[in-house]
Amino acid sequence: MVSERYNRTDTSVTGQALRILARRPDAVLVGASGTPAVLPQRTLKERGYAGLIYQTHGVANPDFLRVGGKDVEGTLLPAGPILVAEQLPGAFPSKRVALDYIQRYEARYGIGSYSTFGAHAWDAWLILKPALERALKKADPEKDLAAFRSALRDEIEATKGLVATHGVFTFSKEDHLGLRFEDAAVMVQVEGGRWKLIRTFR
Amino acid sequence: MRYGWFLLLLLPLALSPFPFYLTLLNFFALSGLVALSLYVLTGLGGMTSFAQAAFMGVAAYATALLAKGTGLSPWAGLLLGLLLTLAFALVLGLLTVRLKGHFLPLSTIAWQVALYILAGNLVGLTGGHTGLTDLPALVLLGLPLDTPFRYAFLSLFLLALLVLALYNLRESRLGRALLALRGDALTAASFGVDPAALRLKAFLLAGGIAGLAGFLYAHFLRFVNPTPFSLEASIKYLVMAVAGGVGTIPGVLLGAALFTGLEDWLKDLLPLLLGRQGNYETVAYGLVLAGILLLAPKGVYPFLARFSPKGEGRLSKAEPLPLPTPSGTPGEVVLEAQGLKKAFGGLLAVNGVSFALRRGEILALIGPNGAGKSTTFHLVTGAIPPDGGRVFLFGREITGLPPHRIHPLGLGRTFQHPHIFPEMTVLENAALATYARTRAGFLRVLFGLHREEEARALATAYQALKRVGLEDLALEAASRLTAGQQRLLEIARLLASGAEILLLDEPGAGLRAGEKRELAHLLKALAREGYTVLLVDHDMDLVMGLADRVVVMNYGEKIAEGTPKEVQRNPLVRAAYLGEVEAA
Amino acid sequence: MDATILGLLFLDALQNGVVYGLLALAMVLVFAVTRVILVPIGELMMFAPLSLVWLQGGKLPGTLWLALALGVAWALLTRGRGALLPLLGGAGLFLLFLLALKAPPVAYLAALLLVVYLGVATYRVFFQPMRAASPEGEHRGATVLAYLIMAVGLHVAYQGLGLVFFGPEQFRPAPLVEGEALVGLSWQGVLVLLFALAAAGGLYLFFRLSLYGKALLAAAESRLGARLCGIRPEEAGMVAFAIASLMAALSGLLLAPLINAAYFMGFMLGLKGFVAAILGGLLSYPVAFLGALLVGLFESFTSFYASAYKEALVFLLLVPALLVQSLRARAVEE
Repeated sequence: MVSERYNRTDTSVTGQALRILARRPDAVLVGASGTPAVLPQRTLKERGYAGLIYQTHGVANPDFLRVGGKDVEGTLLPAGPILVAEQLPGAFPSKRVALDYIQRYEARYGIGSYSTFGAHAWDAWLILKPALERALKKADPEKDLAAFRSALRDEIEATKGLVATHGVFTFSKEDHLGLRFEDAAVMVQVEGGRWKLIRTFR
Repeated sequence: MRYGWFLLLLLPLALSPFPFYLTLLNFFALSGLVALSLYVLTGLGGMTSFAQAAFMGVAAYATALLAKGTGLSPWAGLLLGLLLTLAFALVLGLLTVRLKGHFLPLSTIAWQVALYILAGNLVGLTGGHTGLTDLPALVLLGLPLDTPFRYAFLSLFLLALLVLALYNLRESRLGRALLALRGDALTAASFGVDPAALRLKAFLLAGGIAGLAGFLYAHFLRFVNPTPFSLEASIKYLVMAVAGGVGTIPGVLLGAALFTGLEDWLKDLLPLLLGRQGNYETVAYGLVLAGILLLAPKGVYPFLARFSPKGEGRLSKAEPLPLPTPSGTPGEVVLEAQGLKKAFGGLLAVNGVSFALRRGEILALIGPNGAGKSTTFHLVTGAIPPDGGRVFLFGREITGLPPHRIHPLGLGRTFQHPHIFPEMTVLENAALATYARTRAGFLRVLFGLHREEEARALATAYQALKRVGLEDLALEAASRLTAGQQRLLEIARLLASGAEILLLDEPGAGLRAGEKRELAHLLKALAREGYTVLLVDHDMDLVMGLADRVVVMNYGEKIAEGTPKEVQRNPLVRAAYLGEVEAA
Repeated sequence: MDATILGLLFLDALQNGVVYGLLALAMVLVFAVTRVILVPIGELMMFAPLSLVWLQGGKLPGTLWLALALGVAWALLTRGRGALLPLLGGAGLFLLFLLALKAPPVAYLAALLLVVYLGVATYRVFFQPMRAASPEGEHRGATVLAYLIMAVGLHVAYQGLGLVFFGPEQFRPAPLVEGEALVGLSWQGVLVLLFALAAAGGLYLFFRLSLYGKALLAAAESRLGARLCGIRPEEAGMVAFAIASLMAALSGLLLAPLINAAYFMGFMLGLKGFVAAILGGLLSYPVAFLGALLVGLFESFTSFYASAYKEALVFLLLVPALLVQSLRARAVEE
């Protein structure tokens, strides 16, 4: 194990790459978001690294593929299932909601424009909307703001089995993440300049 | 009048029903503190810093780490934070204050960026970009300051206190010296101001103030992360100060208030106007700054100040400072130059010039353009170190000493173009000269313990103005003086400084005939009182009627010395100089 | 560490160092002539490849509108016959961009000229009026400080506009030449090195041999000096900005395929150029260039040994440089 750091403004990561390669690693994980994640991967390739390269869900947008091109072929990453919504098995719980979101988004912003990031915001709205409606029945924010706020929190915590683009949300007083791993993540690989579903964890 | 700033403490009461505005109020106070630190640095000292947010960060992290690590009272964190900020400012200052003006601000950019990166990357210590959470609230007299309402009283009180302290600074020997330093370091130095030392102290003060703001920031949000201490934040503070008017205290606070208020509003409004999301407020900051610098370089406050009632200044009735009155045997040598040499590149400007100045006389140094008179003048006053030769003042060698070390020995000078500071009053310009005769340091000044000495300094300045007949203009802005009055003010400044030897560089230049007569009259009277005068001038009428003795230079060498009559008869002089004047 | 790694780090250092060197040269030049510290040079540098990518994608970049807007302001400030230069230049630039949409090879030229035009307009609109308003029209200390604040303001504004124009992501224009010349150095990298060599040599010849270059240096000394050499100070400032923008744009275009261009990439590059320029005391061109190579070397090795602190450590280089210069300044003063 060896860990090196770089900044998104870095113009060269040769030093870091060399140090990592000197340890002859089996796999390299790049923890970065968006296009700045390309540079380390390209440098590793140029320096002859042929092993596995993992990225994170931070790169799951079209710009990463555009800038990375050939250099990011074969990259493995865990990502929200919506990234490969069409390839998901029919029984995957969030498939329908995800496809619906993609259709709406692309109708507005063009084909191929969607990323997993906007879908997070969509999920937040899916969670918030019913909770807000219920909370408004309990308390009036005009009259007692504090009571409304705690009502809203309670209602969000009461959300159960809500199917969204990134998984199925079930909150509780203790669990504020609300997702189960097997519904919320899939392994994806870059293949031919596209995202390819490798496996789900269900 | 200035205690009115404490009325700010009523604001939390007025805003108490609006928690959002109470938070903004605290942010205003914190930004106000940082903006005031820039008043000291830029408004007074003519320097600037792009690292004020980094100074805040140093103190904020220090107190956060101390509180998390040891559980000591946050007030111990304040001490540690201030110490660290000052140490940091000291290193930075020591490295840059001796260099030309732009090295300091440039280096602050680099340090700012470096510290920000460290805060983000020293994950084990600082928690990286996640930061440090759950800092303890400040407790004052048993009362936890854990709401924006309570906290606002502390932050606004400290703000008002700092305003008072900085008014004290502005109206002190140090404030005048800083303003003078900004305008023209050589003039300041020829009244005993050590430019590097004073700049360093101002830089430390500004760093300390930012550190205080950082400490308050940390315990207000009770959370620190690197973002508020970034270069962008530093630039934002500078924009505030410059936009409001960095030269005045109300100006920088106005800027802080405007920007704190506008920032949230801009963040909402600009995307709406432009129809897209984006960091428009940073674009707006940059453009506002550019616009202000182009259209209103003094900021918006001067436009408002025009409508505010003018405060009537008062004249001090205190006893003037005890200045050394010229005494000693008339005719003894007080200033002596031996074989002075100076070359600029291949040009030998001064080559082996010697002369002696005797107590109570008026000696004139004359010569055609380029004869090396001004260079000789600079060599004697320490403005330029000589390549060879020696200078003695009252029998003590002063060769190569900087001007601020020579002046306190009893030598004062004026400049070829009057070096008057237009943003100060006539009285303050004269009072600048008492710098070397007064002692109050930064701490005494900030706490207002210098008032007695200050009153006496102003009385001394007033007396000197009276001596040259400018007392009626004492409270006017110096920018309103005519050329002749500026010359007189420069002489008054010398008298207020307690110098016995007056070196005047072309005192008659730009004066009308009547003014020249008055000047000659004044100088003769001063010589009778025991002052010794060395003057450089082109004006033959003035020199020949005024000087007891004349030294004539040409091509960097002394070609004649004697009474005006003797010199006028000297064929060398006639050839080199007088012939030229007649031909012209 | 073995010889291979050492060699690779040296190559890396060289490639980075010459870019810092070019920026440092441009900054020293602009500072010498105008007393402006060109903080937004990094943004100018990035505008070139980003505009190129936009043109290649068949879109007109926002930078074009920015340049034209500044051009109009420039024309308004100049009035009279002098306004022809910005107006004709702006019109020419616009036509060139339309042409570049149809003929992709023209896009390189268009992106280059855009940045030069933008650089000159920046000087004319933002800095020159400050100079004209300053006491006696000369470079007084207060004015130099105001220039610096202005430069930082423009950096913030241009960087913000870069985000608006080009979005948050990086872009990678195709390299002019593919493949590696030797292990660790791509042919594109060789191009960068060759350009740096040519630019440094060209500047040297320009200032040492050409009358115009000498006049430009005289303008740096004083307004009077400039007039004696027959060059107007405004003109000198514009020429200095034009040369600096040209160097920045060319480096940006050549470098972008290696480093990926984005609105935020320029500032750090510029800042390291500064560090190099300060190592040269903001005066000496050769020392600044050597300083830049040193910065590159230092950076390359710290990225190997202590990558987390690399960016912070680079600025440590300032400490000895400032210390030496401080001690020398003291020697003069006392």
